[in-house]
Amino acid sequence: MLHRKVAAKSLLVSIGALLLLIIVACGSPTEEAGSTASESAASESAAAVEATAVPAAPAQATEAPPAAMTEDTGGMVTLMNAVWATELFTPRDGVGETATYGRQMHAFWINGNKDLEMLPGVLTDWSVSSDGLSWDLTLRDGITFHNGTPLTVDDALFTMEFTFGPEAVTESISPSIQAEAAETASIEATGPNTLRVTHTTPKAFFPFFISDLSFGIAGVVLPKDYFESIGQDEYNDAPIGAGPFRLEKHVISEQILLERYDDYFLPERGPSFQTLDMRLVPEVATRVAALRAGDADVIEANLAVKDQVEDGGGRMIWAQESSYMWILLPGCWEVQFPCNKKEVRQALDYAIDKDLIINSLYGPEAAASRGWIWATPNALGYSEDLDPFPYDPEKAQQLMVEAGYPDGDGFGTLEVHTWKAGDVPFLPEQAQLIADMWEKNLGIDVEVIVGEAATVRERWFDRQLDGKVIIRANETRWDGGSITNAIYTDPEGGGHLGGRRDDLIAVAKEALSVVDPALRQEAFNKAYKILREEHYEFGTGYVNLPWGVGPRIASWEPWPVVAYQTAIWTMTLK
Amino acid sequence: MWQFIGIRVIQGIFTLLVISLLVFLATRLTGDPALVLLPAEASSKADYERVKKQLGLDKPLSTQYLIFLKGAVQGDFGLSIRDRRPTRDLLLERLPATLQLALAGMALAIVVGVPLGILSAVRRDSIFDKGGKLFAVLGMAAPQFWVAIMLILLFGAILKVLPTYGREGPENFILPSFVLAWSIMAGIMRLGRSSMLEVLDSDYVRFARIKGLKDGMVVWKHALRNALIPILTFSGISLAGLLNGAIVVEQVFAWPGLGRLMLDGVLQRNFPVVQAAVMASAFFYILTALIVDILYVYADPRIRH
Repeated sequence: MLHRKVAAKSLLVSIGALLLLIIVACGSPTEEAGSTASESAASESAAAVEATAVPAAPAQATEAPPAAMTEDTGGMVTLMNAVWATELFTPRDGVGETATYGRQMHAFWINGNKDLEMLPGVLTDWSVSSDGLSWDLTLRDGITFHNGTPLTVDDALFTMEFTFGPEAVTESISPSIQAEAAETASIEATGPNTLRVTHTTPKAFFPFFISDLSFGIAGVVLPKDYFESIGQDEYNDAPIGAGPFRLEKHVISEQILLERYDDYFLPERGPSFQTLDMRLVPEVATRVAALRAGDADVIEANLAVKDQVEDGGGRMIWAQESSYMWILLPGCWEVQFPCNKKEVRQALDYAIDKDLIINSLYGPEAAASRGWIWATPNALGYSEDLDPFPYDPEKAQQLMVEAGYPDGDGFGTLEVHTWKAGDVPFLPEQAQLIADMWEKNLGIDVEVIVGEAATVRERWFDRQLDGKVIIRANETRWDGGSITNAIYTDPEGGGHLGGRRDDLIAVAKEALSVVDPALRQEAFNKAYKILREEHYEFGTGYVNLPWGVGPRIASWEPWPVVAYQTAIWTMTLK
Repeated sequence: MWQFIGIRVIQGIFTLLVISLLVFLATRLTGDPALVLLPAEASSKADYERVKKQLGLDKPLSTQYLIFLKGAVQGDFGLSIRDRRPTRDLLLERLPATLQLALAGMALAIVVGVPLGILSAVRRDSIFDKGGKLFAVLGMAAPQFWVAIMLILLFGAILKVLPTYGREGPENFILPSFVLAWSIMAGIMRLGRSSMLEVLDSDYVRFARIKGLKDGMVVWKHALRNALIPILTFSGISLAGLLNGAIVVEQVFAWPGLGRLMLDGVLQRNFPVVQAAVMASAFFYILTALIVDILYVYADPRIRH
């Protein structure tokens, strides 16, 4: 009896405490970290309007005609990403994943489209000097930032200076932007609505770099007066752009809430819904559960969860050619490594059955064995004859004999370093399949070492993986100029793969020196064919990025070859 | 009493100093952050040297350590490599989320674990005892990651009664705090049961019963106080662990706490963040241990002497 009383008392205490726990321990945490851009924007807007008078600029002949605003159907879309990078909104800090939110909030100098054309954005025109060093840029008239102030040449000049000026060389957090800034000679306003950016070396890929076809947000425009009045840190707390959405709330590592900006200067690219609620959810299983529960409308998925998404009433939308699979042979200029012999590099390439890998691991919906590394079918410089070399084990064996390694004798053990990539599933499995093919077809011993991305990359740049193989994935890009530059033109660079050969350096530099947009396809195609023949690097193909989409989304057409979410304005709700 | 606290504080400072040296060296041993930051597009020697200088990695190791130590004493752990924001601000931003989850988890573990342990001991070999033991074994054996995903699927995706992620309202705390609490709850329950059984078998309890005291009085007033001491130790250590961030739970429930910050810091070789997070973690451990020691004195006045 007494025992029962004690038991009942214990249970009562437990239940009471549990209720208390739920009521008291849980606060409403979203208020504390959130920052409201619109409030700060409003307080600054009056001063900013006064400070930035619109210069009397002539109308631009190349300016796109006004188009009908996308029909506003209201509503909210919840979109979940796995990574957001820095959560900064400034262009010189625009590392890769900042594009996930940056593309929604900011206006870019140059816009892309699904056909990977470069179209007027903030700029209506851009042209390069005959020596390829200077870019003349013409600004569009009639653009307003989210606080209502007009975008002027002062904003444009300030932004270019901020992103690519001397200070950016040391202050940018992005080594890519630091490198660009280091090669920027001058930035000047040449008229009431024109700018000139001059580089120390021809930069044909500059328009791509500052477009929304690129990764990151190096090509976005800042409101000078607002920025200067509050400073960089405060700007990042309450950013203002001129893009299709304005920031409503930002809770670090949790939420970026964006509201449709009705005065967006390209109404045809305005969203058809009112609110974009972006969430950072690192675990894919949680994202899938959220999609199934109706807590999310669009999630960054992967191939492994396709069935779960579809079983839960969702569907997959594939962003084509989002990442390429890359097999690198670093340090092959050293004669002691077997890969110093071209026949060995060729044999390694011919001994891989790329179609088998694609079909067994990914399937035709998710991947294709086409293109040469970053020169995927929709990228600049591609032609069908850049597709992978065929699987030919006999030829591979013959090449090994010619190289002095019949049946792999005397070859030693070949180390293959790889990692589990977030954007490309089954990379370690792919490495193991390749290792099995090399062992079977070439008679060599292969050891697959699955490491961690940062460590492998660090060891590659530190030349610790010379003579070995790296199998990795990388984001695709329409213009492979910057990566061709880094991989082939600087023999002392950590990422160099070109055998430190003057002939290949010249090939790469020749392609990079072509600045006429009409000639670049041919120039890159020619260079890629030569570089491909050398087999310092090759690939198994590319993968498409799967987005899990819930039943509320009627349609969405993300672009090919562009990483992260694109073309949000094509998303319509049911 | 004050002498005891003073000695513990001095020991704590010395421990922090040793940890600062260890974490400084460990972050350097894991690799060169400058190399990690370089993308394939910017990997020239000049790029590398520039990044190295920017991060202060061009200075001798001893100078780097002294700069770190001087800053740490002032609460300044430098700028995060990833976004150039003060590391202290990053820690402070994440601390509330971790505190909320840790306290909710700990409270749940205690309010369920302690009564269950007592119940199991008082009603030994009953259905409560057997059920409690099963619950404890499951809590200790089931991997947190798996439990978290299963609960999200069941309550979020299938039954749709609880949110699947985030921390907006009270309902967001239920699943993560339960997952976090379960293994600790199980530990408290097992410890409480064995401790209570030991106390219930002691002479003074038998004497109290012979005196005719009511069973409830014996259990709640006389036995519980002594049975609580090992639970207090366990809870203190567990709470310190939770305050350092529950990496798995934070990752699965998209909970932006210290655990995720530390995980990201390690993966990105963001050594100022890792250094700051480890120092904060050490500080929490030392502080919690000190508080537990003080609480001992109140739970068992004999310790005071």
